[in-house]
Amino acid sequence: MMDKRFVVGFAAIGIAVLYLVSGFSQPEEIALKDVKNSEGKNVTAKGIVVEKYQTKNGNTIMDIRDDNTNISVFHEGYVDAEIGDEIRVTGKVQKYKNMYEIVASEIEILKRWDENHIELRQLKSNPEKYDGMNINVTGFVTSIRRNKFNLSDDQNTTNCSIKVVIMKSTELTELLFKNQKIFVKGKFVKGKTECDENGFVYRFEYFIELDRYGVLNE
Amino acid sequence: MNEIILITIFALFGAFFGCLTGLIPGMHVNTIALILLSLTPMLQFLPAIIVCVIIVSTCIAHSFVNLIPGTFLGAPDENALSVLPAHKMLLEGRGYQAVFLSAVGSFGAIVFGFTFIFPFKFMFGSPFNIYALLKNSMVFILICISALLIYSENRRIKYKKGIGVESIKIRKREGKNNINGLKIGEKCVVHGTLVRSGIKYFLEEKGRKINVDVTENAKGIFLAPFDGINVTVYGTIKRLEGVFSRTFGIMTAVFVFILSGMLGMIIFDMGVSSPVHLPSSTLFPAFTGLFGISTLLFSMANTPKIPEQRISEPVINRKESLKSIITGSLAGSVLGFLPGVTSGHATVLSMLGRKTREKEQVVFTLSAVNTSYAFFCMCALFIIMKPRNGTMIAVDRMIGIEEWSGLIPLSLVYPMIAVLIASAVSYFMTVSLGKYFAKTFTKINYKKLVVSVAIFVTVMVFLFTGFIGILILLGAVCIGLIPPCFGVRRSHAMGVLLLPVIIGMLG
Repeated sequence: MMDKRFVVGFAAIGIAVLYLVSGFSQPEEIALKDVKNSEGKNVTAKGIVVEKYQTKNGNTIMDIRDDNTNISVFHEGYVDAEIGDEIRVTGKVQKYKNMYEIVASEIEILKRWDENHIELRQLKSNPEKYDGMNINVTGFVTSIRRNKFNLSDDQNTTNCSIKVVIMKSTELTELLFKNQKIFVKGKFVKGKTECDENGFVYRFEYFIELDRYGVLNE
Repeated sequence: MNEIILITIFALFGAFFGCLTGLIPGMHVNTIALILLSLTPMLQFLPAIIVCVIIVSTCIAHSFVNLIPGTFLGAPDENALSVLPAHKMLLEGRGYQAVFLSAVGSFGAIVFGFTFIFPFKFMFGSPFNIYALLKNSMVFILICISALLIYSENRRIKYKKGIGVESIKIRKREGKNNINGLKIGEKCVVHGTLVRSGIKYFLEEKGRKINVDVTENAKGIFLAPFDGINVTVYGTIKRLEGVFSRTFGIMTAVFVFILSGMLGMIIFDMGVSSPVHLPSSTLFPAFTGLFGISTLLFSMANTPKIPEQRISEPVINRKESLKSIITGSLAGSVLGFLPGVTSGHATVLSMLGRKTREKEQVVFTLSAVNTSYAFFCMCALFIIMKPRNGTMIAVDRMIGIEEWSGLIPLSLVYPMIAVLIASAVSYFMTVSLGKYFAKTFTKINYKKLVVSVAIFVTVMVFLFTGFIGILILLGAVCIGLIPPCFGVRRSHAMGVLLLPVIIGMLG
């Protein structure tokens, strides 16, 4: 009654059906602001890492942000993602200390922060979005000082420019010249007062702590 | 597609491991779970879902292969009061057929499981939530199962002195008119009038009745034609059934149930520790003693002559077999959802549900119960989000179980693929292992084999549970020997699980 063909056939058809079904039952992708409505569900969400801690037990807690919503992500073990990276997390939404968090079973890095070019104009118009993040921008060098220079959209105008501070740890790979087109990678940070060598106090709304830069050849 | 390849590889690995553990007699699936659980730290480098795949496929394969040692080992002499169906088939030279039937039964349970997984989801989970209902009346269900189990015992204990008739003659009035003073087993010649009452026959003389029955080695004689006639019977004094035979049978069942229940209560909170730091559970020595070693010992005491095994596929009644598989699978699946019960309870329930005692059908039902229980324990984890046996506790710890919403959760799809692969592989493994054993079986000394297996299992018990485990084993063996000696069903010894759970639930 149950011969070999039936057994093999049943198993094969079953596996095929389940494989097809598995395509449909991938967790639905939701926006971060909807996470709080899907407690207990398995979801996939995208966001940019804004904070990352390593716990004593070797687990990782990250905050990801998208559309000004922050959500914590918990993952067992080490995560390769860095602050500023755009990642996709898949996991179960849980309530932890009255906050919703995603207990990630899978983390996929979509874009490394240093591959993700941001327009200067974007940065200027919505600085809050990039606050505290690692960013990568391109522009023309305008006024160069000893430990800082300005990065501008255009060679001639300075209306859309941002201050870049050269940190002590910065690798100085190439000399900087005015009007050179370069890319700048670093952390975008908010307001801090600085003095120049004449004792003049500057206050920047936002500036970039330079991590790396390189000259772009036209 | 990558996942599928990975799952296939590890499901095969799990299936082979399960086939190995399934061959160890008396190895319960929960013990396997403990072993796997202790192995998981070594499998840390694998993704959690793959470890789950290994666990699930091991359990399924174990449930398939488990009937092979059950069939080939521990068969008693043909004249024993009760012989398990699979053993009966072995004694008829149909050991391979029994294994083949169990493989079919197990695969049937998998087919059942896959067919009815959605109905079960709707019944036990939302929207019907039968689970909540059943959970609250669990204790009554268990009491009913226990009562039915005991009440359905149909062994009649022979206690009344009577004559086992070997030949019978009309009108000659020879010998004595009573059997007073004669001992059991003595030859006798007695005369009187043969009277029938119900299905029993008596020899009546001067108002006194003597029970008579045809002995087994004189099957050609029928008492019916001599009804109401003066006869002389020639035979031996034996114990025959009397009015209280059934009562005594049920009392023996109650005795075994309570005794094993007491053992269960004693070991319930008892901690055992393995001398070599293996994970341990008190149920392992208890089960091995009650159902494993006691059967082996009984088989040693009444060593059967194992006939040449025929390698042929059995002819089966489709309709009846389907009924058996469905009954078994249903019992296994429903109890897979309930707390405090195991596949042992499911076996009892299915045997109560399936009235036929045909050997083939019993083998079908039993194997279907075990596999279906293993499968639905996994499903229960996703439907009611509660682990129901040791293995599922392991799975639950490893992967975050999400509520079943939408079509089917992805973390269930992968284990289900593993189940399919494992069950197809174990089906063929079981059949070919059964064939191999059936062929080599007659060449080995059966008694030596049984003794060595009994020693092996005892050593296993010692390794897993230490000296206390050996003590539990001894107690369990003693209780386990009662049913075969009196010819009542072994399943009464399930009291070891039923009684502590009932008492625990009653508070």
